[in-house]
Amino acid sequence: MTELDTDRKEVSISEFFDKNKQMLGFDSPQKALFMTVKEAVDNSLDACADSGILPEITVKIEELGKEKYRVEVTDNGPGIERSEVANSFGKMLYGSRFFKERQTRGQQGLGISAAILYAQKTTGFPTEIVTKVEREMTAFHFVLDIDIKKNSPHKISEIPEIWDTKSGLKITLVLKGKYVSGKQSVEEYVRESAIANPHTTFHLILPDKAIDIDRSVNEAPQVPIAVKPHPHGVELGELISIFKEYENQTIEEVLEDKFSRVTKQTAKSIVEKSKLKDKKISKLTRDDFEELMRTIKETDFMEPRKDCLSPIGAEPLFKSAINSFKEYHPAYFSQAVVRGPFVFSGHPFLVEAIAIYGGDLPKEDPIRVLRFANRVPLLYQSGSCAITRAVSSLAWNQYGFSQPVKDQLPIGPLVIAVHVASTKIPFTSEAKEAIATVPEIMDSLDLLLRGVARQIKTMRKKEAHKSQVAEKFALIEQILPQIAAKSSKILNLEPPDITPIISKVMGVVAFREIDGELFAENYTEKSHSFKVVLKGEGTFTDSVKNLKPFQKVKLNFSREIVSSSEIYVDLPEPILLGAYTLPKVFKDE
Amino acid sequence: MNEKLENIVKRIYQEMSAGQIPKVELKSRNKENILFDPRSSVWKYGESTVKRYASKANSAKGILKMLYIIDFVDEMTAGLKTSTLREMYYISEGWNLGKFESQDESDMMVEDLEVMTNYLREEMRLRPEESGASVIGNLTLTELNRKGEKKKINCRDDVGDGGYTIPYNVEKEKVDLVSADVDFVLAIETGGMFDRLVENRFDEKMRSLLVHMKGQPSRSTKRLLNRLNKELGLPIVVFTDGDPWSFRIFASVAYGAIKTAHISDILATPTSEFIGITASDILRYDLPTDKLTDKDIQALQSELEDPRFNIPFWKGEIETMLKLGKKAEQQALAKYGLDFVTDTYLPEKLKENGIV
Ligand SMILES: Nc1ncnc2c1ncn2[C@@H]1O[C@H](COP(=O)(O)OP(=O)(O)OP(=O)(O)O)[C@@H](O)[C@H]1O
Ligand SMILES: [Mg+2]
Repeated sequence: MTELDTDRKEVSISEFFDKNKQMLGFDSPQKALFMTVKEAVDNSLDACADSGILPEITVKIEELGKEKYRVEVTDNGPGIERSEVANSFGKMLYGSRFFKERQTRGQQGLGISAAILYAQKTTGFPTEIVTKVEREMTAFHFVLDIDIKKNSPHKISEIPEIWDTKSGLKITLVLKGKYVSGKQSVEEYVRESAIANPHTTFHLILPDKAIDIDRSVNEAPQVPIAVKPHPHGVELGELISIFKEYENQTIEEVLEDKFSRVTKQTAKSIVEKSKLKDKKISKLTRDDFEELMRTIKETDFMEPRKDCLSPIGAEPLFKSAINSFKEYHPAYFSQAVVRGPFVFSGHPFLVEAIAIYGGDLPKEDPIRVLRFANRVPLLYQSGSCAITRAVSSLAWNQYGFSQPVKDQLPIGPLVIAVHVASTKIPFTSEAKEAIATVPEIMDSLDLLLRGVARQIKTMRKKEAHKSQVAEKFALIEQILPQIAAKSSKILNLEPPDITPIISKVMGVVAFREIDGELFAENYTEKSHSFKVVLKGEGTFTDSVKNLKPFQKVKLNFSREIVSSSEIYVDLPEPILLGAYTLPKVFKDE
Repeated sequence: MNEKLENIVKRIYQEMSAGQIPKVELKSRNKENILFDPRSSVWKYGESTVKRYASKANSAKGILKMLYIIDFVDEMTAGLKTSTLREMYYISEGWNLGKFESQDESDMMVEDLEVMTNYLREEMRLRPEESGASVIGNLTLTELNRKGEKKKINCRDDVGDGGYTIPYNVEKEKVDLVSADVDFVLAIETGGMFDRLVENRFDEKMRSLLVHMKGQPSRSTKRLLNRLNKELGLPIVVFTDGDPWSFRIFASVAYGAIKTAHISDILATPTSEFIGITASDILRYDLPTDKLTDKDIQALQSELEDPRFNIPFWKGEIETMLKLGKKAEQQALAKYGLDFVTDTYLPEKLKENGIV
């Protein structure tokens, strides 16, 4: 609190949120059930990430009565010390993540207490927490609720309990909720969480079904490193809190020690510029802090450290996408693309994405965009989210998708999963439902999405070629021989020789992939010499001399290049199958 | 093996042996090539033909499928078996690339073969799912039964109240019409009305042959009506509900349908008479009615454009029905008692139409 607030009646933070539930996302029974699961699961994943544990999380939802549900989330994380339980769960704005910049799901020290508060207000039930840390022999079973007026935990009981696990935490809440399946449901949340957390195993026990999702990778991601805040990344309130915490040090010392990228020299010049030399921290006024803040903003620092971020990673993202979408039998997956780290207002961030195309995905609907912030799926407020905006603002017709309304999602059988990771995600509200359209983030998303969309375009073009080629070869290798066999069998005659018919129906030089290798086959009546150019991430060339009728050669390209490139050949279009005619510009290169 | 079918195979084989891309040629089944022939008053195919070359995977598959059907028909002929169109569709599961995607596709291809060879699918031992209609009245015929014997049947004396059931194949080699001692044939749409006329012994009282069409009549029912008319010189009188769909039943008995344009000559009976229920009947007999639905109204409007209804009688009736906004069922005649239809309605209408 600053001086300005002192004469106002102090409103406890819990009281404030009790009156403004929607700020935290608890605005309807359906959403409340979803938020409760989300807050608990996010915390479990954070706790596991902190200690490098491969998470296994069980979510159980039971219907107790009309609009009354019991939610139980169990993890195999590190658990939490007995002495910390009450404050962590029963006090708002109490968390383990202050004054440290780190990529975590939790940021505010608010989430789980809000759920506990909501449960207690709607059903009167206190929350139960069972937790065991590795060091202790037994687990402890807490029953607690929140003293709203005082924003302090109210512990009802604490008893030791046997729990046969190395460590972990189980939280049980009873709340007014509404269980739904489909869009914006608990199930969708957990399924999407599995995509962004490929190293996690989930067990879901819902009122109407049970689902197990096995992890797609067996390595825990690197524990994200905590870094001190970058001076350009702090806001006035935060700045004041940090300084108040270290009142018996000098301003210079705090600047140098508690922030990153501040050298002794810079600290000194900031203090001088702000005319705060020799002032004690305890004597600083709000005006002084504002002056300090202004100076910091005007000062150049080195960019923040970027190695503290933990992307999902191209490999794991690819694997979890395959796992999650295999039931749709997609025609193809793009490579996962990771870009960054970049910086916005002193915070490092990176973006990554993967696209899934075709198969049984709906063709007539707008494409599906899966949004993730620090590995947390975002299911609400999609319209105002930077990710949706960035996807919509791409000129999709250039990539072969119809986009009936400009700046709206295009139509087609496509899913794009996009992840933004940062030590500080700029959410549009405390409910953490949408990412703000910060220019630096928008720019990086635009670049990222172009890359993914280009891949899909190339693959679709290749797909068209491939099905043409497959059809022609089915004709000459299967259908015509079967016609010959069947007609001769009916007539009791010898099967006719169909080779002359084959060159008649083909009349082309065909390019086809067999086991990932590219072959050229001459089905015309003349010999041909030609150049083959593969265009993808790079340009690769091979040439063939004098390929005779009915002759076949393997071209000299690696499987990787073949799978990710378009094929161009300097032969005229009418006698080409499975490749484009090489444009003039290329030829001259 | 059936000669015309064999010729199709021979042509394909010869083309292949000569190094040519094999093809099949048939009358275009495009809507534009189906014309209402005013001289014979039935739907017929025009002159344009299409060639399907095996240079495209799809047409090549079509040719392969056709070969499989021909082989299958050949097998059935040898084993004296028949199969339903549906059974053949399932059997095609085992035909490799000759497998059909849907029963519609296989039914179509059988029709293609009919168009190409002038053989009826019944002669190719393929039959539809639906059971044949029934006949009651003084008609004598012989039917070749399963044992290969020609059995003589009188459709009044040798059958129960259900009547004689028309088999799927009523061609001469299977059913031979011997003689009939009746003045006309009454083809009836609904089972309720058929049973009423049977119970009231209308066949005896009015010297008629009663045929139950079971709604939209099957090919064999239409074929039998055609033969009764052509071979025994019997007038065909059609008696249906009074609504747009029943009018279409009459039109398909009299003038044929687009789907069977290639065999209109043997299925359609252009001299058939429609006796009722007409829109004027609704007014004249003050019959209980139902309101026309939107679909009914659309159907009536499209009938106004249909060349088969392009005569003053039908134009008048359709317009009257549209004006009334009402339709009536055959059984609405029961308003005046169970005997009204046989004692009053039919005799009056038959006399007015000059049939008796
Ligand atoms: N499953 C768990 N295992 C271990 N510690 C936990 C667990 N759940 C919560 N905690 C501790 O409780 C604290 C408070 O959680 P809470 O969800 O209220 O805040 P947060 O996750 O830090 O931030 P946010 O409000 O953004 O969710 C966490 O910071 C963490 O230290
Ligand atoms: Mg949290």
